[in-house]
Amino acid sequence: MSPLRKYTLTIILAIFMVATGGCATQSRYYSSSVDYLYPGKTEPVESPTIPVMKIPMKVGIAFVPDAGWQSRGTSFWHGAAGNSGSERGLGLTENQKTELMQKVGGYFRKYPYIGSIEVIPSAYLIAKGSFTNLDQIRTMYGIDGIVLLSYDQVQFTDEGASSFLYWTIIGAYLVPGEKNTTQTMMDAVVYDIKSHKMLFRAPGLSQVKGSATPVNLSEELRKNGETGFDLASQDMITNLDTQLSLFKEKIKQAPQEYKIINRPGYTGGGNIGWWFGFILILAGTATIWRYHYNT
Amino acid sequence: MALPLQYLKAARWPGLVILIALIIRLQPWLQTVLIYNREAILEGEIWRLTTGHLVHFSSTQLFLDGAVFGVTAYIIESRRYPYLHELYLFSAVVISMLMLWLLPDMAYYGGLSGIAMATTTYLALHGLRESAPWRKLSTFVLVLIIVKMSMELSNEHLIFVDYENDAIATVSLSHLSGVVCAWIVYIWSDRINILINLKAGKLN
Repeated sequence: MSPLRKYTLTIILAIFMVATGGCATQSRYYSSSVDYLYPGKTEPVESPTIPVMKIPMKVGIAFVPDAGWQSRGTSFWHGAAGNSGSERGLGLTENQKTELMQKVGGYFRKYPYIGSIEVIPSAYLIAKGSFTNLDQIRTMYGIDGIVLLSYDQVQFTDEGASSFLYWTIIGAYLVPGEKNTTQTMMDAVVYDIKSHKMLFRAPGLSQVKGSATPVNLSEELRKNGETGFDLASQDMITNLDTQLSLFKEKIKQAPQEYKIINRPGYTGGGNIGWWFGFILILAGTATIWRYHYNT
Repeated sequence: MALPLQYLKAARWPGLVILIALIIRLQPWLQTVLIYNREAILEGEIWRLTTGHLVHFSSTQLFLDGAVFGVTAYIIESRRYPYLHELYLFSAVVISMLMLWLLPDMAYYGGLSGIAMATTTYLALHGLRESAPWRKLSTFVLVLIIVKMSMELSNEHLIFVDYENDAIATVSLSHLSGVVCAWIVYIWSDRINILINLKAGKLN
């Protein structure tokens, strides 16, 4: 082999190795309740009035429109990050959104003070629609409050040390040198539509780590993305439980901030209450025992 | 150790009321027929004015209402304070009538707590005339009732009652009217006693 050919081959190999190794990409898919409710406002200032909540409440649940995706970095094997975002499964499909809304909605339904929960299709929410859009939905569905779901999923892909084996070509099929991390945040924010008052919010977080060969990277990212959403939504549901309990306490502690009224046709019941009942039962039983003992 | 007959006698009526409430709790069809149902009452099913108090929406509600009612009614019976049965009936009807009048949006009501508040108040009022330890306990119970009523009235509409299957709003009016009924029967029983004694020439 002539020295020229030798050098040429070395340079090609070096370029190939550099091109196939040490690349990092980052993709982000997200939607934002703030962008939807307060579009174009750098400092969202809203003066909510006192919410009048009719118990049992009629609540809607919807995903705020997607804000889009962002990507950074390129890779020899899978091009610019996010170029094939939909194929990779970043973001949520309409079916996935509906499934998730039904899951969260089912969770709300177990609370006695939630009368009904309506799943609102994403098509009904206009990007940057703000409260004008929510008022339209309120009229259409006859709801009082709305649970707005949003998400933020970021996927990082780094190539590990073993990725130098990709230059063997077969390594690209066998060596899982693509290390990826999927971080997902889901957020549920509950608003009283009429008063524009945020009642409470509950976030859910998840982190999924994995590795893949360059060839099955998109499939792996899609799976991790779905797992990320599942885990984050479970975390969000757990936090919702805590936030609902805290909200009930908040209403009792700050009655000037919320007005609760009963919806016509409500059911009423006597409630002796644990502390009152316990003291009376204890005092009464002690009295009966003492009275009988003395006689 | 067998219970003396007087104790069984004292437990007879409160026990019967609790037993009926328990049977109703276990039989959903009975609940449908007996519950306070505003529309049905206005259409003539007036028995619901009294039977509604025997319907409970959860076992917890039945336990608390039944226990307080049972203990207080038993003590009233065993201490032979008069007009307890009149108090049962009077408070049941008055509470329901007031709800019918003042709470037009409330479609259904259930629970013995209004009557339990009436028996508790009635017992405490009579206890004020007893000797020292009993009087002190009665004063404590009356203070407790005042505290509870103040809390309920200041937090009107704010208390969610998490019963098992439904959204039940706490109705403080039933408790307040139960307390007032007890007070009325107590005053009334006093007057009746004075009249009876006057007639018998026992008073000067």
